[in-house]
This record gives sequence, C-alpha cells and structure tokens, in this order.
Amino acid sequence: MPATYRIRFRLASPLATPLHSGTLFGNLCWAWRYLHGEASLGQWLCSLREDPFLISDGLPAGMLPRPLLKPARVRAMTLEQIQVHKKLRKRKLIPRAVFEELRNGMSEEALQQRLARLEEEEKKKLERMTPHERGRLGREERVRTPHNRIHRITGRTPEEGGLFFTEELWATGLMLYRDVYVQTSLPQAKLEELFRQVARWGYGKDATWGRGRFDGVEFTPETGGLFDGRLPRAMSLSHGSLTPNMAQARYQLETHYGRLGGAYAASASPFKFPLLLAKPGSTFEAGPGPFGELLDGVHPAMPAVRHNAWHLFVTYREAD
Amino acid sequence: MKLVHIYTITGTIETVTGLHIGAGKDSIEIGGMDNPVIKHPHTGEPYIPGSSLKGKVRSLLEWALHKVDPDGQVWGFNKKTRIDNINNDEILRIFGTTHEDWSGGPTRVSVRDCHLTKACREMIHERGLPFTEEKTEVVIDRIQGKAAGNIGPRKTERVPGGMEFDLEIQFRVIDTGDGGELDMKCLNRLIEGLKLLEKDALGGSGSRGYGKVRFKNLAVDGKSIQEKFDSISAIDPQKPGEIVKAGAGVEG
Repeated sequence: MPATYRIRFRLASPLATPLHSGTLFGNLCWAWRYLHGEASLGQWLCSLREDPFLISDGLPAGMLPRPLLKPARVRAMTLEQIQVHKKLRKRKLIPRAVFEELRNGMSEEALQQRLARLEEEEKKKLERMTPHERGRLGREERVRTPHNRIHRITGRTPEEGGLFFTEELWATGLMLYRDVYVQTSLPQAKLEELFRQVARWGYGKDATWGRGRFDGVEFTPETGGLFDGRLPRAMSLSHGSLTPNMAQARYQLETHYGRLGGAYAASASPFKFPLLLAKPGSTFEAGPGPFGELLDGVHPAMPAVRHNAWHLFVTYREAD
Repeated sequence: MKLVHIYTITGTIETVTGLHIGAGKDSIEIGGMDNPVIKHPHTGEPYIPGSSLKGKVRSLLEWALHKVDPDGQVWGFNKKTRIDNINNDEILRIFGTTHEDWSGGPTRVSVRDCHLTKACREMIHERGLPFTEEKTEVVIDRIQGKAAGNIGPRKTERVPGGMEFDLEIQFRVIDTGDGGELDMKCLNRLIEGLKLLEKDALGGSGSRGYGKVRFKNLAVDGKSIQEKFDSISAIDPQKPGEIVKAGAGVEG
C-alpha cells in the first residue's frame, strides 16, 4: 500500500534547474544507481508500471498550484475591480490552507474572493511588520550571472565563445523552503536515503559549481487529509503527460527539453526528445488512476531512458 | 560504477591581498564603479563563486600535469583532441568533460560558492566597515609620464585583504572496477591543486598582485589535513602525494 510523504527542505545554494517532478525523479534514479548499482535501479524501474512512484514538483513551502477552474461568469466590474481581478488571475500558487478550505465547493469566483481577502490580510500584516521581520520573510529572484572560460595560453577570455551566462534562482529567508510530495510503496528509510544523497551532491545542472544543494530535509507522512478521500475532480501537482483516462481535463502545456544526467551527461548525445507535458494545476475527472505514465523511447539512442510523467494529485469538488 | 564515498573538504579561504572576481555590468552610472565584484544579489555581500574556484584550480593542474591544450582550450573541451588512456585522465575525472570518447563516469568534484564566514561578517558589521574597497588605477603615457588621456583613471572594486570565506568541496570516489583507487589519487591531486592556487592567484589581475589567498583549517570529513597541506612543496606529475587515504580518511 503506497504511503504519501511531504518532504520539506531548505535550498542551501542557488537553483539552476527548476524543481520539476520528472527531473526530481531522474535525480533520485541517479542517486539509486550510484548507491546500489545499475541492476538494482533497473529492477526498480521495471516495477514502476505496477507500482508507480508519484512525485510532485518542488513547491514553495505551504503552497499548492492554483487549480485550473471553469472561468468565472462575466459580470460588470469597475476599472479598479478589473485590475485586482487581473492581478489575482496571475497568481500561480495558492496556500494549501486555501485549497483545503475551498476543496468541497471550488469555483473561480470563490477562489478569487478568497485570494482577494488573503491579499488584503497579507498587506495589513506586512504593514505591521518590523524591517527585521520583513527581512526574515526573504525573497526570491531569477539572476543572470556571467561566466567565462580562460584561454590557457593567453590567460584571458577567448574572443569567441568564452563568455556565457547562466540563469539561477536565488532566494533568502523563508522563501528558501520547498515542499515535495511523494506517493510510493518504497520504505521511508529508502526514500530518505535517496533524497539526502541528492541534497548533498546537488540537484540539476551545475551541481559541480555547488548549484542545487539543499539541507534540513524533513520527512512527514501525509496524514492530514490532503490526499485522502475521493472527490469528483483531481488537481495535478506534477508535470505529467495527458492520458485518455483524464476526462474533462483543463490544462496548460509546457515543452520539456530534457537532458541525460549523471554519468550520461557527458555522452555524445545528451539531449532527450522534447516532451509536451501538462503543468501542475491541471484538473481532470478523478476516475481510476494512475494518471499520466512512465514514458519510454524518450532518447534517440538509449531505449532504457525513461521519463516519469505521472501525476500526483489531490481531489476537490467543483461548485456548480 | 558505484559510489564508494563522498569526501567533504572544509576550511577557510583568507584573502591575503585584494581579490577581484568580476560581476560584469549591465548599466553605466555616472561616478559608478567601472569593475564591480560579484555579490549576493539580495544581501550585497561579496562571495567567491564555486565556478571561479573550480576553474582556476583546473587550469593550474592542467599546467602542472603538462595537459595544456595547444589551442588554449580547456583540457578535454576540444573533442577532436586525442587523449591517451582518456578514462584514467586525472583532470577529466576530477573536473568533468564533454569529450566524445569519455566513459569514465561523472564529474567527481563539486565546489560550493564560498560566502563570508559568520565571524568575518559580524566583525565588519560591528566596525561599520564596507565589504569592499575601491582601487583606482591609471595607465601612464610612457613619454609624458602622466596618465594617458584616452583611458584615464579607472576604479576597480576589490574584496580587501584579511577577509575570510567558508570553503566546502565535495568529492565523490566512484568504483569503476578498481575499488575507487584511482579516484582517491584524484582527491589528493585536487588538494595539491589548492596548494597551487595558494602560490598563484584567484580572480582577475593576478599579475598585479590581486587575488592572493590562503587556505586555513583545511579538513577532510572533519579531520585536519592542514599540516600535510602546508608541507606540500612540489607537484609530481607522475603520482600525487598521499594526504588522504581510502577508508581511513586522513592519513594517520
């Protein structure tokens, strides 16, 4: 019987690769391979079609994706209301508590009203805060950093191809914390071992420059009810593929340009085929799962390479 | 290919002279700094990027081990270069490569950004000092003996001498059929690379005296190697010294 865990950690360095579900899974696979060998990893991968490993994206702590709901009915609004409405529609994440509060009667209208109230509360709270308290809240920002290669003979940057840029996510304060949800029948100890290995070495690209490290990894079995119950609709927390059992789906697509990692990263052809995946927040009818799939044939030369495109989901009821 | 152990090298980097690791500049401000140093985008504190440290140590080891590409490229970067016994190449094992003949496994080293030590940050706050200094330089017209008119004075930002940064390097020893023996040699080679850096310079303008650094309190998995590190006098390209021994961590 699979169990669900919330894994909370603190980013201990900038992040060069977004915490997408499929990439997180790939990093865990490499941790497995280095710790237990290729044969053991192969066995685990073969068992996944019967016993899927569902993993969410890395979300800011305490947040969930905003569900894609039926558009709100058009009503007459003042200019000011339209501006507020537009601002609220841009929020890609909602607090978990708001989702839990509305899950039995979710609608775009109800969600917007709740978010407008929340925004007001947050504004007042911020006004009462001391500068020190505001500093503790922290912030996050995508930063473009220049790098160069040094010509070994001249000791200077080569005129052609020497200068390059990387884009990284830098965060401070409470914005450093992330939640990942996992549903698996792996023992908790095994899951902890894999996550701690990834945390120590670094996640995603540029780990050899210290990118993608995290610490303070905490595992909490999810018994709070978020994943319990079977309400009529489901919201995905992952980047996953669309499968025929996802009826009445509302989704936004994203092209995923994957690369091989670990020991394969330096191979002659590290690029996978582009994948079209539904983003977290996609909603669909919560029939018998699992939703999404373990995709194979994702690399032109390596048939063993797969991509975890399953959806870890939470259910809710949409108001009429 | 199996992971044997991840070693953690820790310590402190002390700047002996001013250090300039450039940040590039998106905008031009009147009276602004010509060459700023790289800083944390939120706190504004200077730091030593892991990429700079890794790149410099790699470059120094390439020279020490007679592995400088005649084209000036990074060793192993030029995919057409023939490298004998490529999978046992120490540089490529330690620092990684995209060479098409490579099958020696993943990059072994991971160097973190080095941020100011807590003590150093507190000392600067207590004394109300700035984190960086400005150094003005000019080009002298060789005939007239005064500053050249078309260039004029320029200001360079530096981290002053005496600042301390936390160092953390991870090194994974992978068994590629030898029980991890070759990677243990690579770990020792990397430590020798740090010694080379002490003798050379980090960041820009090394030939003008910038970027001299010193490593202090060096330890591998918590066990001090400072004494052994200080005693490294020369690099033998054939065989690295034995500062860290497999399993036992630091040589007794």
